[in-house]
Amino acid sequence: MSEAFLSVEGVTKRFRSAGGEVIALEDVSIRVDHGECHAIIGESGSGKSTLGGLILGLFEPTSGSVRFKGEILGAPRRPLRLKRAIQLIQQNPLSALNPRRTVGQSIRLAFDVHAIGEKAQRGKRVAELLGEVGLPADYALRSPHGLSGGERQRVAIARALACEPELIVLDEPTSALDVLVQARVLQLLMRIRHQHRLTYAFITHDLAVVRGIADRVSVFEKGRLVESGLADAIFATPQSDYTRRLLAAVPVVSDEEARFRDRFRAAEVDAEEAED
Amino acid sequence: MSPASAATVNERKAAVLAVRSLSVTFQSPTGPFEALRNVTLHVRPGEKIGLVGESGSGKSTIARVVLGLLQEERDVAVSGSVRLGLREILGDQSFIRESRGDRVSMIFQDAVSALNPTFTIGDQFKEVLRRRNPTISTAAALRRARVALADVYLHEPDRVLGSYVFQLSGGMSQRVMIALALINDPDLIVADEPGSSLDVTVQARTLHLMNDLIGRRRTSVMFISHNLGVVREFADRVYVIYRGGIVEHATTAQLFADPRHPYTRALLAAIPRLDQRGIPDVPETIPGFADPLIEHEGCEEPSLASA
Ligand SMILES: Nc1ncnc2c1ncn2[C@@H]1O[C@H](COP(=O)(O)OP(=O)(O)OP(=O)(O)O)[C@@H](O)[C@H]1O
Ligand SMILES: Nc1ncnc2c1ncn2[C@@H]1O[C@H](COP(=O)(O)OP(=O)(O)OP(=O)(O)O)[C@@H](O)[C@H]1O
Ligand SMILES: [Mg+2]
Ligand SMILES: [Mg+2]
Repeated sequence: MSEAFLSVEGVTKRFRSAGGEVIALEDVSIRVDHGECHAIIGESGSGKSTLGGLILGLFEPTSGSVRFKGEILGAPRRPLRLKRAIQLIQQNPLSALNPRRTVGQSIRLAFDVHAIGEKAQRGKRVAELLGEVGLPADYALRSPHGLSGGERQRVAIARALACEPELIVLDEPTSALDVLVQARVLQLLMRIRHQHRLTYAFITHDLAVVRGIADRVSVFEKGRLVESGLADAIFATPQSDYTRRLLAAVPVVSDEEARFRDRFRAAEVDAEEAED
Repeated sequence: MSPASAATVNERKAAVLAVRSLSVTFQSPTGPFEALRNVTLHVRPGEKIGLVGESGSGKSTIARVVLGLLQEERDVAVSGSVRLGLREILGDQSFIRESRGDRVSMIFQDAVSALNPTFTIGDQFKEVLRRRNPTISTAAALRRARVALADVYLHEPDRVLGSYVFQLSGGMSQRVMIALALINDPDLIVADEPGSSLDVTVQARTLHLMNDLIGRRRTSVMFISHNLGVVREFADRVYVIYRGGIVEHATTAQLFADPRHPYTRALLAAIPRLDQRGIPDVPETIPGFADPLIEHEGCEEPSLASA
């Protein structure tokens, strides 16, 4: 088997917490191929953001390892090169953008920190990146506070792109946006993924978004991976009861979707009857 | 009839919340910004209204006015009328200050930053419970908190009560926020994106929980959400808001069967589908977004005179 782009190998992560320990992830193994959009879905509190944090180097696994192109990804003193290659886009871009910097300064900082491009060209490059995410160049002068949620998320994308990353962890990147803006941001994310040959680890609770954009899907419940496979297969014939329960609970707006969903509700009832 | 009971009768008929011609303008370094323009809406006892629309259109701003929070900020001008029952709250903060967290509660959009980072979750429950019952003992408060946490499917209530918000996942924090908002059995809940960080099964259960409370206590809910599927299942009536103004007002059935405003139609067309690959193509601008309010039959505000 060829070397995986990103591989999570038998990872367990425990946190110390009130009155003992929490097992946030338990013996999780996942493989993410170069260029794919890998959706990470599942129960709230099941360890999805923890997995993102391990990939980003916010903390170390308790046991097991995370590898990026064969190299073990540790947390403390991660080399700048790896920090640059792996970027985060999160749900609330306001907390990610420093309110005391203008949009342009925030993007430029990425160039300065990672010494990307010639100094004299950096201002022009900021304008190009804003253009790439569909914002006018004069937005460079604005504060993140005065921007709408969708505009802020575009700025966060521009800033992540400024680092010329290879892998982006997206943790609920569009759940704070209206569906029109969400559609535009998702289109943008898919376009830049193709143009820059990026790989996405896409954490979300929105299963319709997953159906829309994911190549592969990993499903988590209580810190464990319950299922991982091609999106087409998981939406056609989910293997685990938990995935079926998730699909059966999606609120929808059209009768066609309701019919699609209700197949999983029927499967649930069958499974329950079989148990009795 | 004594004056007191007359007031109660009127209070029962009147809308729990009536917002009339509300306008809000922020003063910012780049000049004034009109965040809300002439917004009128109402919520009756036991009713669930949905508020949907553009990011940045002013939904949370409405919520913050109803809770009396915006009025306490600087550099903002608020005009119009906001009544809770028969009490006007614009201009006089005393009533809403007393009611907040007790008769009127709010589920904030961003739970992680709305919860206090320096107190444990248990301490935050104590504080909220003491707003209703100042003499409640710590043991009794924690007992009630444990039940409330179990109700929102947090299975390790003791760990959660002893935790700080950074030790919880996004969806766990959101459920804590929901439990805090429900624990004093309020008359009105303003729920700003209450399920946005929850998986769909937990979200469905928390909506059931709210529905129970509404059924038992005739609680009213103003429900703000980008998730139109959830709004369709939960709300009785819906207001659609775009750039600070209401553009469509309909019962939930009317809105989804017969959306009339160009903005509403574009919004519905942009919902990703569970049964299809790809993301809907949406135009950058759509003519008619700024068209005036369309109000469907039977949705008019009950006149205050008849209340
Ligand atoms: N720093 C921490 N200290 C203690 N416990 C933590 C910490 N971070 C996460 N946890 C715990 O680890 C578990 C997994 O949390 P995580 O944030 O990864 O969940 P999640 O799948 O992202 O959930 P959600 O969908 O709600 O965002 C939770 O029980 C949480 O309380
Ligand atoms: N304190 C403030 N000063 C200046 N502008 C503000 C302030 N608070 C809000 N705004 C602006 O008012 C507008 C409405 O914001 P609001 O948060 O109410 O939108 P929203 O409909 O809740 O959006 P979302 O769906 O993204 O949560 C936005 O353009 C916002 O930038
Ligand atoms: Mg998370
Ligand atoms: Mg809001």
